[in-house]
Amino acid sequence: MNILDDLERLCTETAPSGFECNVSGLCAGILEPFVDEIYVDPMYNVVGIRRCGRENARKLMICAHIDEIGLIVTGHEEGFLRFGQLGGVDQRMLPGREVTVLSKKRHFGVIGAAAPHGASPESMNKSIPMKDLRIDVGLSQKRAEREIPVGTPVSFRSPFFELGKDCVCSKSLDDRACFLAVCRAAELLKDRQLHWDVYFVGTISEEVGLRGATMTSFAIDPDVCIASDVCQAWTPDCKPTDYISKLGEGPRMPIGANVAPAVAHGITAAAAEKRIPVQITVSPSRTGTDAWAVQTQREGIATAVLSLPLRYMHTPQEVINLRDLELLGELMAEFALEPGEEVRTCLNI
Amino acid sequence: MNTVELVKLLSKAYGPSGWEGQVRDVIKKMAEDRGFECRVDTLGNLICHRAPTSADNMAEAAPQKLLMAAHMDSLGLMVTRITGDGYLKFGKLGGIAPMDIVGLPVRFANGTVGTIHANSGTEAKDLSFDRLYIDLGVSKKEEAEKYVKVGDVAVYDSPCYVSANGKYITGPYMDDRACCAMMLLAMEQLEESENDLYFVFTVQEEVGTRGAQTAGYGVDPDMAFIFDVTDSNDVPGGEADATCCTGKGPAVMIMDSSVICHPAVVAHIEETAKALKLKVQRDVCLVGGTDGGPIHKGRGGVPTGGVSLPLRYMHTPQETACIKDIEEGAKLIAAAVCRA
Repeated sequence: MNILDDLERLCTETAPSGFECNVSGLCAGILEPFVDEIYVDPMYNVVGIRRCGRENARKLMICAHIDEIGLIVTGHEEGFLRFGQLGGVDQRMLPGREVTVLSKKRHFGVIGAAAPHGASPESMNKSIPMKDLRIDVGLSQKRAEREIPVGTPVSFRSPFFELGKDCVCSKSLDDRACFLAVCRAAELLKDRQLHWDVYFVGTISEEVGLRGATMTSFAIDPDVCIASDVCQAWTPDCKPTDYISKLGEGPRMPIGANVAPAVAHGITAAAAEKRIPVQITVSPSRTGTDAWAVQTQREGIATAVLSLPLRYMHTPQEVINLRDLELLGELMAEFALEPGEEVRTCLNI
Repeated sequence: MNTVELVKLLSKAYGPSGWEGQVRDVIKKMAEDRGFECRVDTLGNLICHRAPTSADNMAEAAPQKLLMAAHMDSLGLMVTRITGDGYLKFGKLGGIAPMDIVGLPVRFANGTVGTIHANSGTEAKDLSFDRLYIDLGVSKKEEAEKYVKVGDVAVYDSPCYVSANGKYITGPYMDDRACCAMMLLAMEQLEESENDLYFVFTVQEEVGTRGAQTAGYGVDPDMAFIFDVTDSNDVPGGEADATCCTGKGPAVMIMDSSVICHPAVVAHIEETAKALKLKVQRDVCLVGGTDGGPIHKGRGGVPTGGVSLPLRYMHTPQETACIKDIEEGAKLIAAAVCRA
């Protein structure tokens, strides 16, 4: 696979939470060459399976979510669109954004606001509440009502481009970059002998409540699950006391209640063996990732989280380092091949 | 029984979250009269089943299983303490604003009635549950205890009536008894269908969509339809807060905070409405969840949609809905679930 090309295809596709039908096929297409079986379920989750050939094989699930944050149309006002959010949208970054309105016939739009001339000094220092903003699609009220019904999803529109050395900037790197790392792991595992069946999963609707992970982990019923998602990376405006990951220093693994120690040990050992740098952080309780939903599914699933450091999360200009993405894929593949003594003993593999 | 009589009967039946027995008995009898096979699951959900009726069910594939859900529980007020002079202090079951219930008549499961009041001198801005109490018209704790115990639950006892023009119905618990009525009306107008139909009246929705979670797991459907009320924007000051209004037809659910409806199910409901020449709206509800949340995430995932009933004054004792919206909603449901 060509990481840069595939990443661009994935990120420029539009699929806000609940409207993943646009991207599921593309995800399945990228994954398909590396797996024995593949399907898109009725909710648009993507599942690729590598069989180890054993009867009643143990199961490893490696997942990343394929939805993106977005907006949804809630009304029309003299041709302008009222909207709500799909997932956690940062209202501070909304004015001045370009969007794609995903109506039957697509429309471009911009989110505008009244000009600063005449605004009070206090209001200049405040963000405009989302409920006061509108999307301008340049249509009359009549045409807007006819062509863009209430309930139409809206995606942010921004270019995909390389930034400096090894970095890329795009919308939806959260979490398509991790999905591509999952695909990269599958590619690295192609033709390799496995101890267990490995399920490579693209989950839906993570941004609105870890929903696809809830469904797929029930359906797959894995023994171990690694959820891969982006994590906030350091920027100059972070407080010195914030202990967060940095771009270009490898994938991050949180330690905490959402992470099974045996799995964390296996990942650390695999990383050490292959000299893959891992940034260890602490997440005492919920990790805010698919692993949180998966952990308590059925009788309980041993979960871990592997994250890709990312700057400017939930904006249309997210930034990652491609080297981190590659290392993330390698680390997940390495763990699948050699999950460590504790996991192997526990699962008898 | 006409629509108004049905809605009145259901909205007056006692059944706060966790204590749905009385309203369930009323609904169960009506479902049985309509030829459904009824069972009650462990949490108290009422599950009414109609097997496929058309000849196509001889096909080799298993019939498609559909779950339709409306919750039968209502908001309630639970007694937490009885004062020395016989006044009842209480907490809430479900989302209730103190300002909505001052001066309200309430009723307990055993028929005991009382009224809610605020501590003397309380200003509107200081209203809180701490300052509210129920007066049973007694003067001693021992006397109050003859009628009510700590842990008993009161429901709104406000009247249910039809507007002067005959178009609207107002009363407590249109949420979600009006949709229970919609479902019962649909259950008597079903067409022949090869679908395996499960109409479920769920419990404990108002305290966290709890019944829906076990009902969804138990029924294990291929597709689900949710029927609940939604805020309407045809009230003063509410123009931009909701996407639909009363009197303009049932609303096709697009999303709420717990579920984003499956595009194929949305399309199916809208196509059915078009075929029936029914005018419908679209419901995008940004605050508040429904039974659709746990049901669509159940097991391996369930394509889910629904029909919302636009409602004025949600969670107040005077919830107001348009009668025609209820009747057309029933028509839409009956056709949609048979043709899915």
